[in-house]
Amino acid sequence: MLKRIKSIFTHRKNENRYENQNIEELKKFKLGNDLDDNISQLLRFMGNCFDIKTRKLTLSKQNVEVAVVYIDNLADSNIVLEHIIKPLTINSSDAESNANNNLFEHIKNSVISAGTAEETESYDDIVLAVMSGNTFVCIEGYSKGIIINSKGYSGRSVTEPIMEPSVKGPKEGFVELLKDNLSIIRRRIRDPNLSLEKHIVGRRTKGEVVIAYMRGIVNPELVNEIRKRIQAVDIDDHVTTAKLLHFIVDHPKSIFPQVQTTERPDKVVSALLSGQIGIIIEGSPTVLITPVTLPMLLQSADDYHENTYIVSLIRFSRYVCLIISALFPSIYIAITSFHPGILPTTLALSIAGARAGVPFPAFLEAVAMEVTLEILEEAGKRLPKVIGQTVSIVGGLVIGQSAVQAKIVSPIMVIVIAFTAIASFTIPDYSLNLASRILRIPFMILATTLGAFGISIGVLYILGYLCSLENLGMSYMEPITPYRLRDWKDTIIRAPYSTFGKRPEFLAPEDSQQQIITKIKKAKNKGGP
Amino acid sequence: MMKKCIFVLIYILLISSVGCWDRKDIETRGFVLGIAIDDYPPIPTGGATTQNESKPEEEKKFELMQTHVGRPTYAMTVQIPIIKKATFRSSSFEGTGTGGPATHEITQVGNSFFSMTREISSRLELTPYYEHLQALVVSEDVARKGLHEVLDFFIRDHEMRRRTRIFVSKGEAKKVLDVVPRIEDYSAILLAKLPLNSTVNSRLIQQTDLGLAIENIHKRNDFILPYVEATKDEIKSLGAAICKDGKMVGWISPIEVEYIKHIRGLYEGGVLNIKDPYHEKAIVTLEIASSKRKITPICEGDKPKFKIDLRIRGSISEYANLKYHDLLDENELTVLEDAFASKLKEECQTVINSIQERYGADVFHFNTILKTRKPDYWEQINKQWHDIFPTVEVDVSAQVKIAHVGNIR
Repeated sequence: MLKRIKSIFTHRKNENRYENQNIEELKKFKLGNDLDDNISQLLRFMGNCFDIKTRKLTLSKQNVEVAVVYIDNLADSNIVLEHIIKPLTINSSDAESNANNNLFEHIKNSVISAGTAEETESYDDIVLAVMSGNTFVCIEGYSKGIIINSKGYSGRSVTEPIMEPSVKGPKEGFVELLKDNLSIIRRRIRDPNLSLEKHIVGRRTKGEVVIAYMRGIVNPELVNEIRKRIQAVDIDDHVTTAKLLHFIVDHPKSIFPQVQTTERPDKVVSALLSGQIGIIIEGSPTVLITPVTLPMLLQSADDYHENTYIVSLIRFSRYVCLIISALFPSIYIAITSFHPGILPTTLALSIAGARAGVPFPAFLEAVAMEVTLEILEEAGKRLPKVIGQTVSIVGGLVIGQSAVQAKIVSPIMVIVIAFTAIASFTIPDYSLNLASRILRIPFMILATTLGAFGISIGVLYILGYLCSLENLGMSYMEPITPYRLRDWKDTIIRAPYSTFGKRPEFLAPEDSQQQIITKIKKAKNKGGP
Repeated sequence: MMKKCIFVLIYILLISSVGCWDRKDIETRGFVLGIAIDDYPPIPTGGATTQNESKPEEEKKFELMQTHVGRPTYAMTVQIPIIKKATFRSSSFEGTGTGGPATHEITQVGNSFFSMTREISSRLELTPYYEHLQALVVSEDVARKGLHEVLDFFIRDHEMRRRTRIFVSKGEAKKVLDVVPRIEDYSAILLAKLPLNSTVNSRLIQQTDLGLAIENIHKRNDFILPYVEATKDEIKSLGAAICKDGKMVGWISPIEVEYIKHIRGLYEGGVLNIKDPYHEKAIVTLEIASSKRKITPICEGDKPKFKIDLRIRGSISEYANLKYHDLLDENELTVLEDAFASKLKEECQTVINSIQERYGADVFHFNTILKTRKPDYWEQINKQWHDIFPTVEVDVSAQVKIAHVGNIR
């Protein structure tokens, strides 16, 4: 039965297999010597669209025809005009002395004044280049052409990260444009060992995916594995972070995020420097960091801008909040419906008093409140900010207050759910926040059927699951278990920076020394003022 | 996939076959805060605060239950708070606050306490729930008949807690529960909190746990339980009931309680008054901050002796009936200290002797000291301890240190 249900949703292998013949065909074709042929072939491949511009020029001295092909809105018209077309028309006069054989080299090397110019002869390269905004120059009589980088489309300017704001940290966040994101990272790591590898993913969309890592720090096996997994991705569609991470993690069905997504460049930089790998995807304002463990997901950018004691307290409370977020409603249910004996008497009486007259058992009440909360949050997300406030007022205050007054829910339950929601918002990683929210429901069912016993069964199961979850050969609970005390400096507490000598051991970095701590003896001020 | 399915099925099966075995929403439980145990007959009439409209005769009809065997011998009264009136006092919630008593008291008559608690369920829609039981009040008559017979259920049942406070009441026990306290909501909670004041008043007994009492009964130790008296709207802890062989044998006065606590090393704080040796009328008050007891058993011959050494530290907190006195003279302080010490010594000696004479009850737990310090000797006299105790010689010595003389300006 289940198999049948499953088969409805899964891919049917033998039917409707789409073969992208156009692109397969392209690889076989090479440029010919005839310019008109080449251009018409190219335009045919690209479907003769109106926005593909072809400009034919004649070099007056050599009397050779040259064609320039670019897409109007993708290519920077300034580069095309000033650095390709203009030099071709004006400066070609200098080519007198050159022999005809070297005309191609001459144009490539001396005439075109754009940033990069590459030779090519296969159509798939040319089509991809033109489609991504570059300009193609083809010269009569040569079976090769020049691809000039002229990408000139504009994107959103760099703004503050929306999902991960920080108090003292940098206010710069990633944007959709790959080149902007790369420049943001490059600007922070001026090290020649920073490696950026470009891969093309997406059979049709041809999105660019960049693997970033620090040569000499990162474990090369990790890079090989990630490279292999990314290269194996074969999807039609636009590649997004969620889709990509589905292909690169070991357990894509797990609700726990095994890849960190972040909008913050400082997070990516510190991850790269500690031996992790960043994956930057064109068109996505979030960057993936892998491999990642649960304690890493509970680190926030602000943790590194404050005193160690303060941060340690905050970090610890964040772990508590994760537990509260997953368990608090279920603990409330278990206590009120199974074990009221563990409450202080006055509290037990006050809860009983608050619940008197409420028609539903605590479980239904909690589920109803939980659903209401999700609806409110979903509504708040969809609406523009101006109306979003209205939703929070109407939802939170009006519905909450009147539901209590109408005795549909007890005031204590409102407190419990609200507190749980607030606690869940302290989790820095949004995916982890969602995971903890999903966990609430099974825990509530366990609590309402088996009480505290059920909760402990559930907790044991989740703990066992977390400890056995592996990604890229790395346990999810590293470094708490397997036990590596040395790496605990940045988990439940954040130890002072003077202890940060070594990089995390579990990432198996090639260069484990992160900083060398030298103690400087402070000169004692004996004289006094 | 199949495995997971099986797990889910097993879980569903487990739940459906077992049911949610203990699940009961908190508002459907009747939190029993206090229990009063009286003798039957007669059925206790209690105070005038009965909230039921029905006439007493009609009420009593329900109080009797059909017993499996035997005749009803005890009357148990449970105090259950009326939750709607009890808590979450906020103007926006209706049905709270004024009018009527805050508790519902149900008396049940029978001979087995467990069946009595179950019988109550036939008169109340809430399920009686005993995990929050605060205080157990046993009337003096019942206590004199024997505590052991009464308390078994209150320690054996899984819903009962060892930390429940137990009291012996003068007269009817129900009358104590009937009191409507002025500050606290329920008399049972007032009773439970009362012994906490033993840090300031040494006449209160802090060791009043039900578990402890049962333990003493089973160990065949003698012990004291707080003795309470109630008027219409007040409860006072007054002295102690002295228990021997699990039965109350007599009452001791509050002052005697003080010295018993000194001797047992349970003293947490209190006052001691003497007449000033220099000034006729003046009464000096010592606020005792700490009292340390050192007890040494001397086992020679067939009778043990005990040497008790008390070390008291305190400060002068009052000089009554005297115009002005600064107490800065060191010699005078020493004299005062000695006066306090001799007073303490004398009184302790008197209390020990009087209890030995009157009751022969070892409320000082000398037997425990012998058992732990001189186990061999204890083995020999174990059997005759109750005969030996009244003749045991005790030598008390006391040392008092006055740490502060207090402000006078």
